Amino acid sequence: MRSASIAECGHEESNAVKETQLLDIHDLVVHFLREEQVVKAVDGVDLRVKPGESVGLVGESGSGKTVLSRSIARLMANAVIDKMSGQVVFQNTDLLSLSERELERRRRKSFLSMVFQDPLGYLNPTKRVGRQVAEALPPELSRRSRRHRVAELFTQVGLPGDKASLRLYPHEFSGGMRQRVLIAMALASRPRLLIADEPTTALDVTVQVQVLNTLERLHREQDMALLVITHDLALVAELCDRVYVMYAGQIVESGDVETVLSSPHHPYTQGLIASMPGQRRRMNKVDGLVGSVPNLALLPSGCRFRSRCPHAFDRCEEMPPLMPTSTGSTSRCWLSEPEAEGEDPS
Amino acid sequence: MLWFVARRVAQAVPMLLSVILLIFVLMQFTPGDPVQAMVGQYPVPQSFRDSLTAEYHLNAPVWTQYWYFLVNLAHGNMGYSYASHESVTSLIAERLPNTLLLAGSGYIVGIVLGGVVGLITATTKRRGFDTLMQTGVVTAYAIPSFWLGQLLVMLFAVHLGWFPTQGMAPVDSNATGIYWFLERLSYLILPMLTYAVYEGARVTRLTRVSVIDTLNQGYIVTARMKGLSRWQTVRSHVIRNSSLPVVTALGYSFAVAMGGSVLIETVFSWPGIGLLLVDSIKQRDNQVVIGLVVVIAVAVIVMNLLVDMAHALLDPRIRA
Repeated sequence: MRSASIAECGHEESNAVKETQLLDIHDLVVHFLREEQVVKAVDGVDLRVKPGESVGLVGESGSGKTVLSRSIARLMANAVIDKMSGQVVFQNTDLLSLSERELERRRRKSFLSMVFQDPLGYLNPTKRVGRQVAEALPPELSRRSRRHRVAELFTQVGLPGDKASLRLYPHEFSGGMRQRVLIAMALASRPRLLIADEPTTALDVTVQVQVLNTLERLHREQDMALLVITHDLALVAELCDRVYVMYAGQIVESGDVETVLSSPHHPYTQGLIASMPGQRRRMNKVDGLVGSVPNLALLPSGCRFRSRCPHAFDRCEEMPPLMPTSTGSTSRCWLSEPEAEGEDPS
Repeated sequence: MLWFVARRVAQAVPMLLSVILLIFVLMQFTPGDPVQAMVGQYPVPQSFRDSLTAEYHLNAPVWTQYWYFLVNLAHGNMGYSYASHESVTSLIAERLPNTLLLAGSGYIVGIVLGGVVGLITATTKRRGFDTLMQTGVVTAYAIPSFWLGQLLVMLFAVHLGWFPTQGMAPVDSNATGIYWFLERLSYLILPMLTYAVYEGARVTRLTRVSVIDTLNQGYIVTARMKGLSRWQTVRSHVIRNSSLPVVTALGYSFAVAMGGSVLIETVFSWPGIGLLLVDSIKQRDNQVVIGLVVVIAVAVIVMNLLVDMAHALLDPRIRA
């Protein structure tokens, strides 16, 4: 009973603030088929991004982050999807209801763009980088303004915009430069939201910082909202205003970055923070996470984190809802109920 | 690019020499007496046999014979046929264009057909159409070409009378200009089709697999993100990238076609090198066999060179 009223509360709140949201995902479910098994990669996710805001989506590999991000951009292959429901409202349009053709039209202009994890695989090896970026520009541009705009995009992301550089092939670039090419490509349509899926995972540490700085600068200068998908909490702390923590296809905790990182409520978030290098010594009470994300095709009943949770108890056999916590964040854990905080066994 | 080509050509020379050596050595082990083959069934004096042996250096060591062969080859002379005493070079020069015409035209028609069908079946969303085409392709691939050739002859040449049954040209013809061309074309169509069906089926399968593989690449997702339509994506990112493995296989299959046109040439009595090869082997005409194998080996090597160059053109990563 109690859980139902909380869920209702949350929904009313979402209606009230709907106009100010750039992206409003409501109860998104994406199941796909793999080897004849239904993989529940995204299972009832609510997520919001305001215009110009920077939001992090954190979780381990296999928690469904990438499927979620691809589903927002409608870039999943239709063939493998078993079930897709809910709403992905972007600029007041439910993207899930759009046809392929309509999507193609919108992607060309102030829509949402994506930057992918593996810049080498996501660039065509047989095409000059300049032409690949130019392809993302609106088709009505003249040849000349096209070339001009590509050079401009290159300089924006910190690449040399001279003619010779535009004529290079992806393999002639370093990893960091390739990621910049992908970013330039994503910026070509002047998107209002940039989804960056593990933008720095494949890069050297020093290059990571440079690429992050570039992303942050673009976010600020162009008033472009960011949705950063990562397993790296340090990156989120650096770059984001708010954070969603995802586990086994569900959001398990969300809130302001500072609040969530300084007083995490969900044991999974606590574990993630404890697993950060440098945190281990400071928080030596809590161990890092053990085990791994359950197979999304064979999920246990009840709380999905139960099998790895150091605080699991009887009630965890029932799935907890996302509920508000004492610090203003939300958490999907029975122990986060305000009156339950006192009895936290830890 | 120039440097790349020069290097590949330089690599081809030792390969060619080894191939010639290998063939030459192998031929030494083939049964049968070449002198007997030259003189035929009639009794001849021993002195005549001896003079032939001396003329063709048949008693000299193998290395010396190989050297003579190479020197002659460098002058465009591949010896004389034991059977007809004609120059091997001119025998082959007479037949080679016929084989190139048949294999080449069948090949081109097959590639174009196979490429288009492969691309369509890989990109179509209609599963039924894909399944139907796949069935057709496997069937076409499984039919032995000599049998298909005979079926085509029975239907289109004997029964319907649309095309001639065999040969390359009428014995006596005074057609000129466009009529000459059409007359020749009518002789070419059936053997070419026989060839194209097999090659087309092969290329369809290769293309389909390669296109599906390309469609699963990350840069296809990037293309969709950019808002390219399905056809724009295929044109800009799929065709060139998926042609690489197909081109590799094409170079190899053209080489096979040169030597393997034997069956089709036999069915249609097409006067090409395949038919010449069979006849020469039957007659133990070693000089002609060696000459033919050298020509086919050169064709293989040249074709591989062309494939390498095509690769370098298609994929900038190889050019370095």
